[in-house]
Amino acid sequence: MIADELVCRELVELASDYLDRTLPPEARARVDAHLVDCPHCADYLAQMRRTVRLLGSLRTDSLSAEAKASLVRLFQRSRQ
Amino acid sequence: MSPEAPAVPARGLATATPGDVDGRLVDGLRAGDEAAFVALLERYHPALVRLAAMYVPDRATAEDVVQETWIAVLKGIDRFEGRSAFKTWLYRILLNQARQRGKREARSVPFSALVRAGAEGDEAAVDPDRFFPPGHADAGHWASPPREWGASAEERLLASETRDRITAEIAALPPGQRAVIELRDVQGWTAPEVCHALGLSETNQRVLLHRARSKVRRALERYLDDEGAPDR
Ligand SMILES: [Zn+2]
Repeated sequence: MIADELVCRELVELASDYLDRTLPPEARARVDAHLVDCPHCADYLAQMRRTVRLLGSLRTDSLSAEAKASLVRLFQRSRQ
Repeated sequence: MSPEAPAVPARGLATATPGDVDGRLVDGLRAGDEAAFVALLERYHPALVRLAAMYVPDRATAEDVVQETWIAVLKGIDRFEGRSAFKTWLYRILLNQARQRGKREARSVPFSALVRAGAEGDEAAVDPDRFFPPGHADAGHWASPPREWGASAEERLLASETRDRITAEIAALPPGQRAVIELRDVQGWTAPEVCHALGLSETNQRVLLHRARSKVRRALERYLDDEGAPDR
């Protein structure tokens, strides 16, 4: 096997950095080269990308009316 | 003074120019503008509660900690010099309050654990059994490849049950991984912001995030494969 050829088991350890574009250029090039021939790793990366997007969609909490009211009272008291 | 908050987007804090918006709101707060305070609450309160919940035993205590944080902000805003970003200052107050309370409530997250990324990060992203073993002609390549998440998976991924699964998976992560994935992927912070707030090196932050994301992906895969795959 060529010395710097990535195998799938190594690629999955680079997936997060690859998606965040924080891999050094040389490592990124190796991942890209691997992806040309490996649909499975492309599927894996697509799953990771989807996972990150889903995580971002969890942020739906909003300020409850109750919390807001009690904090605004605090604010008003602090101004007196 | 209007009781309504000005239209300030609560999302995308890390990407837009939060400094400008925060700067204006901080000026407003100093001037005693209630609407500016409400806008800051809407921007930060929910995220503060989620973060505090990582350090204390229950939601009510987390709400308490965040309330203490806002009190400290109101007391200290005149001394806030704006040399660091308001957000950084705010989260530092929160983390101090949460750690103190966590200690008192005997559920302090050992903060050294956050930094010991290596200890948390020793696991493989994917079960090694899913690759051909050493010695095999295809050693290291997928023996049991991931299935494409197609259109049928998409529907399930968007269901609220899936969101509950992800939330449960995050809750089960070791503290460092949990804090990093929560801040980076759920709250949308940048890597430098997370490193700064949690006192992590860039490398540790990346390792923790990688482990956490890998586990959430694995949980989703298991969930979809268990119940959803129509063609098995
Ligand atoms: Zn591969």
